[in-house]
Amino acid sequence: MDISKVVVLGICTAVMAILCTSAAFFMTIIPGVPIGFCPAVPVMVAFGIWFGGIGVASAYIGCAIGGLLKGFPLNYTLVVVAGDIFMAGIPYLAFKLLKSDPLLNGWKDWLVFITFGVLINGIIASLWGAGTMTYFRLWPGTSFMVLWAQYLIITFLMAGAISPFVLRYLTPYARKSNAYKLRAA
Amino acid sequence: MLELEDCSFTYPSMRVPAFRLSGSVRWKCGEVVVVSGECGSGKTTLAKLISGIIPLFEAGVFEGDIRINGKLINQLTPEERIKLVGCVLEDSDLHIFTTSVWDEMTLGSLSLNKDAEEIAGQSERELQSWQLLEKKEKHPLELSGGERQRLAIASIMARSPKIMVLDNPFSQLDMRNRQSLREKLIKYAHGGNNLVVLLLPEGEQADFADRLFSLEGGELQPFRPHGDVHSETLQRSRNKSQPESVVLTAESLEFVYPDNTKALNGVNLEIRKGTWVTITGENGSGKSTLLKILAGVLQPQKGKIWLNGKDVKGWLTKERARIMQMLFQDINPQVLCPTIWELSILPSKIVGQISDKSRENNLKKCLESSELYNRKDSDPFNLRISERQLLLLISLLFAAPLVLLLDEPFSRMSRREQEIAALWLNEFCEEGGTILCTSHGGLPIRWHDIEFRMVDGCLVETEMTKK
Amino acid sequence: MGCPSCGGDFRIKGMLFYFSERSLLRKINPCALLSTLIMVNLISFYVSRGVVIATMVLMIGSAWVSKLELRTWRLILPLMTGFLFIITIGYFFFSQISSGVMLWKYPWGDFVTTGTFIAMMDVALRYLVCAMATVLFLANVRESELIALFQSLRFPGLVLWTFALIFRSVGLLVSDFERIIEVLRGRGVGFRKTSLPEGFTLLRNILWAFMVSAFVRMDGLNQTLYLRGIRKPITPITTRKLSWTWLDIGIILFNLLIILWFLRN
Repeated sequence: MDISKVVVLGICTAVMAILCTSAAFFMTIIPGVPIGFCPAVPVMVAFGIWFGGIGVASAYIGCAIGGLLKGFPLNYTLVVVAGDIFMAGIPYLAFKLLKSDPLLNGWKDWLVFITFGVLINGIIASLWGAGTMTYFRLWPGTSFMVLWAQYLIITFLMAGAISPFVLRYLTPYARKSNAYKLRAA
Repeated sequence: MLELEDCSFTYPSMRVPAFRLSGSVRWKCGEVVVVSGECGSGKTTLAKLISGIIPLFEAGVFEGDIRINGKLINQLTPEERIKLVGCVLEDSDLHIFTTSVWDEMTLGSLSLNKDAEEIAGQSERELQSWQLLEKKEKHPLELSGGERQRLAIASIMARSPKIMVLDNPFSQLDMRNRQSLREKLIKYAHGGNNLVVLLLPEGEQADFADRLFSLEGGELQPFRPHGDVHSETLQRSRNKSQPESVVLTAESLEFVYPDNTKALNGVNLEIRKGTWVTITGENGSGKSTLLKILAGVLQPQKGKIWLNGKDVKGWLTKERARIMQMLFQDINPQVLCPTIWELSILPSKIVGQISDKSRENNLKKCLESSELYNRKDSDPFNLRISERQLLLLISLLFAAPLVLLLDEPFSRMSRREQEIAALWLNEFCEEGGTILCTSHGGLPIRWHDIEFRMVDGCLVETEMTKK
Repeated sequence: MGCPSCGGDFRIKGMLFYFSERSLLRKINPCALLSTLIMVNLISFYVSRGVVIATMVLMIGSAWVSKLELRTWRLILPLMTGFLFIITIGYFFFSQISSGVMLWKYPWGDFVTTGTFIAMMDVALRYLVCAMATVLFLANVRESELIALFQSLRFPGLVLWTFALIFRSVGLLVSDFERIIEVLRGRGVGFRKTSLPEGFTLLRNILWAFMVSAFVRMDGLNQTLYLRGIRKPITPITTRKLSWTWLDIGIILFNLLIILWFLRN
């Protein structure tokens, strides 16, 4: 394996881990940042679209490290954050198979993004997250539906509101970087 | 050893070649070759071409021949090539991989399959000779700009490449370290029978070179002197009449970093309105720390600061920034917006400075004179590092503070850009603004009124101040 | 520059925190500390409340012998506060703990009882124990020592380099993040005094600058590894060697036994 791929995996994972833990930091330093604000969600969608398998792997490993840093138990973290594989992997496959442009220039790109980058991946990832948390009794007592609804709203908001900004403004950087070229390799 | 023949390289976004050579040059082992040129003249492209970064990491159209040891470069694998060529690019900050000086130093040698003990012994000697041994357990980002630059060079030289290419290696170094690096490079070339190619900005001392070339608009040619204007220090002709009121006072400032390094050791300072003060000093002497404390970015453990006669303790960050703005030494973290225009108005927006037509015209004029206005909607990262530095300076001037704190503002700029910036700053002073600027020495433009020297965290008056 | 006042106690920057070389935990091998972290992390949600409190007391004692500075706690305080805040909100509005006396009920079906408070405190305490173990680990082990550990344990090159790049990138990117915050402070941003729209513009600026710095670092690291002759993740990565004592082996065996007992149950 070429070292460049490991570099992309390393940096993307570090970004995910930092963004996972920075949510609580942002909440305390900037008033108005809502509970559940998680900048890692929109970025993992973008990483999946830009860097394919490496982006998906970084979403999983990064969020697992972020979870550990926040104090989540190791065994739960490894299972619960597997939902992020869907969150980043589904838009990656959709954009690749349907040949969509990450810059979201046409209506087709937007349609693919909203369907697979916000709705379908959001529903599956939140089902996984809420399901595993209920199964492991990490949130004792509460009903699965209430937990899922919260999960879903946060995921939709984060992916729907911030991902387009990330994709439009940062895709040129991703394309310029050597990492983007490695996607096909 | 290194031959270039009728070659050119064009980036995909450009129509004209960034580098070209008509004819051929042959640089031999045992030589120090200096190629000097303005910013944007193609020096970095040449360094990347020789080292193989182009085409491995950057695309473009290359024509012509480059030979290393008689072999065409495309006949060499990247592994073979990088064993022969060592390259240190200008932005050494970006080329740090590890998180300790020791690991950074040993990393390059490890890939040569040397014995770990041998590497350890060699690295220790090398760190000693670069005066970095005491800091071997430090994080490279904790080092001063000059120390980081020395570490970047040392870690590549430790691989003992036959060809060493250095892009603007003196930019962050103080006078003493510049001299020491020159001596090291001469010894490396002459003593070790290696080729050293130095890419320097115009005006940089190059009399130690065995061969001199210049780059003009991307064209490599034998060196032609441009008159003696560059060897002189430009002087400002400004009439100072009455001494003005004191605008910034610092008393007994002390600061210790989290690693327990004492950076400031009781600094006292008093600056009057409309003056331009420069603080010189060696790398790591505490200049940047002082500026960060004055700007409110770092909190001193002891001491007081007065702005316009008022103690700043308890002030809101915004109140302080309305009066005082700072240009940091690290350029990239200051690029906070996706377009040049947004970035140029950001500081004034943050402090709530009302924008009117005449001020906007001034901003437009500044952007135009630095050829940035026609690119106002493009990405600041598409600019050269020196242009980014100019842009940041413009943005701070547009925020109209009373005091400007400038950390090494000219270090990356070309001679022409330095002159443009100095003119704006002079105008700023004429209008009553105050400048506190740091420099590790070798400032080609000496327009300041007062000069202090920072020695081990204390400010010392220089001859100029005494006068 | 010297440090006459600190008596030679220079602090070292780890992945996230500064720490003292005089810390007693620094004398323990990183492998022993890592096994302790995993053990505490795995058991803290299963053992009785008494054991959790005892572990907490042990953690506080370890923090004291580690000479952990107040500023380190100040650094992680926002993180912990933010997280405890989420737990509080979650338990108050979205839980159904049926033990104790019923206090009130929400239209969406969740309710609060006196048991909710006890359960909330219990979970918060367990999370805090996990978080403290992570902080103590990060405040006593440098990432270069972890890499040296993995190298000495003969991890495959790909795994070793992946971990090395993750650990090192976390450190580098956190520094970049800090520098962005520094610049914003210098420009006049008072973080706690921003309005809602200002806050969101600020978030956009920080996120943008941080992501761009990650891309710049990505290309920088690719180039720097090439310039150091590293093309594949197979070359050794460090010259550091770790020392082992009987105490380290004892700690590792003890932790392994507990982890095995936990897995069996």
